Amino acid sequence: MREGRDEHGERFKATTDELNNTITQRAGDRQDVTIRAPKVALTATTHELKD
Amino acid sequence: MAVTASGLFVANFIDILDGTQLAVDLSLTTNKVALFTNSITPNFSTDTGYGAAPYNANEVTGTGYTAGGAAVASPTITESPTGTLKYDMTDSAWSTSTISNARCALVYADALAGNNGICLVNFGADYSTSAGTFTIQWASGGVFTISLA
Repeated sequence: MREGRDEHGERFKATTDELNNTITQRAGDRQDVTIRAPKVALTATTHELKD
Repeated sequence: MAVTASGLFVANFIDILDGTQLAVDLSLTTNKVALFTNSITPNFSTDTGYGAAPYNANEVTGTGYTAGGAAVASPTITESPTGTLKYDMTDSAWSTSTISNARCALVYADALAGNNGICLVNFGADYSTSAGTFTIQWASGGVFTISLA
């Protein structure tokens, strides 16, 4: 969790969860979300027969 | 009903590769990213795309979010690493938004009549903004990869 003042001098509190996504609470009840999207990885499998 | 995984749309990829020749073009900036709640239950074998079940309901709503989602930005499709097809784009964002309980992102071909689904990315939990920015930082290794060799 990080907290402090942003570039505009406004207080913020940023919490990164176990999924590595971050919720940032800011002044005036503003809330931002940053999703660290997982990569969708697929593998094509081929099998070579050995004589 | 729930989102439990990310994945690609098998039926659409079959139609891309067989005689149907579904014209999905990953290089288009008309492809879109739409957000859905955890009330949908994806089926990657049978789902087709935006506007068809389960993607005909439970899309997020709210200030700063337009139904249908946002256009992708700077999409690329490359070989990276060797033998691997990689689809990538720059981060997606909805600024000054109040979005509730977004659980996943559907990337789809908005230019096609079927709004055919390309991939679904599961966030793993519900996320909400309040007059703030909802940002999806796509993985550094790409939105999706298919290792072919």
